[in-house]
Amino acid sequence: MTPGLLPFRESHPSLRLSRAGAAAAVCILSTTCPADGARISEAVQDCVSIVVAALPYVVAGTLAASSLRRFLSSECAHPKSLAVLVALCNPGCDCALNGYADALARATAPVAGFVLTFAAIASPLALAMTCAVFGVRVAVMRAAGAALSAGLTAFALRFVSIGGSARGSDCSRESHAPATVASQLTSALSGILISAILAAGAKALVPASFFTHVPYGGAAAMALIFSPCSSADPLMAAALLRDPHSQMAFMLCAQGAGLRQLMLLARTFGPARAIAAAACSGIACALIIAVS
Amino acid sequence: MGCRQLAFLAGLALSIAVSRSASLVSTAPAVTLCAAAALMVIAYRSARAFAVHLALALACGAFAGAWIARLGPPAVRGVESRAPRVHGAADLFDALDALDADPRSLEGRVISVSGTWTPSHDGWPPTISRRIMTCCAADAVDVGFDVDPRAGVRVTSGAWVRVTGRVGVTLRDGDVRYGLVDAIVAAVR
Repeated sequence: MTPGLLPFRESHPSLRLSRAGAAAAVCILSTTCPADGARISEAVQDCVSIVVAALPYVVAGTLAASSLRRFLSSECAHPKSLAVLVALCNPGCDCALNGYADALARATAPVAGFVLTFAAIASPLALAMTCAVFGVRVAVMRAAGAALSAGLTAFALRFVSIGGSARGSDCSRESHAPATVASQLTSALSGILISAILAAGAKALVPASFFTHVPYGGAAAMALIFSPCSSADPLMAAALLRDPHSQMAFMLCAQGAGLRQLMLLARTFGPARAIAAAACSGIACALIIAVS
Repeated sequence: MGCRQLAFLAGLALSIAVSRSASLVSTAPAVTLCAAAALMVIAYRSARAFAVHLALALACGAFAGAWIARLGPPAVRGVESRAPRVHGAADLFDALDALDADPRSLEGRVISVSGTWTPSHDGWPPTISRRIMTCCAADAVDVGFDVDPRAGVRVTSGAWVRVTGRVGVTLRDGDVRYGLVDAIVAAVR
């Protein structure tokens, strides 16, 4: 090992690929973006604010995951259930799941996929914010969308293999699992940083007024790139979008299939399963909109 | 990302928390400070042999954070003329809430609201707005009124102003927008 380099394990191939993708996107954005200093500094501020705002939750999630793994016996059946319960009742922002995902390592992929998807879309804080902004009916629809999306994801993860192998029930994380709290944190924060760069770049290029009357497909696409925090998406949907279907699509897709969630799922299950999970969230979103 | 990057991030967060840059994150500075301290401890414990490198990375992060905090709040880009239901108590939000509930209750009436002034730009009229931020600057939304001033306005962009005018409704790109017509704009000191 080169002196000075820290003994971290090699990052997941999908993460390396995402880093390369983010670097390419930044290069393309910087060459196509008009030379507007104010807009570039806004993009830098946006990117930094996403990472700094997520930091307390990621640190808390990582420490919670580390504590669970340390203090609870691996032979006992309870750690898995406790990890699932803590993730579902996560009192903070969904960013905490980035640090917490490692605690679900012993669960099977369908269970971990269900928990990560449901907790991202319908955390207690997200439901409370949705209820405050749109009312009880929309909050219930959001919870139903989360359950449907998580159920479809769990079903899909039973059948999608990891990188061509036939492992149907284990998380790919087990083979790439970061060993220390520091490496768990770096892994979690890398994913957030990449999605923050892309979200800030997209925000700098696209005017907010562009989305006012966008159909729900466009709102979903917007949500994929911006992938705002689950506590912020109801406010953004209410302020930026007019159509109720677009608002619902924005909220469900932002958390179920947004860049940040995609990075988390890719890190946890590998890229194939992450794409399958994102597709399931898209299908669930379409179904919920159809019945609402 | 390694321990030095964690230290850089800790310095960045530390600096932003200390500068109390409320325009960047809504989290309480104490919470960000604790997270930054925890991050620093984790980075240090993982790489005790490289303390000098970590200190350097921390300093670089703190410098970058200070620079970003000094940039000030991001400029208002697009102002939405309707407020989500979750916001602080303010005259501007109250007026938008009343319009949202029953547009005829305020239409044509003279009201007075306070907020941030943004001159006309890119074909958009001048606006008075307030910012709603749930999590961070990236998800901040500016809501307020378009303003049609009675006379020329000598107020700098971003200044805190009080605007008194008659509530009018316009249709722009298929979107209903509320404005203050024949308005008097006064800077608030």
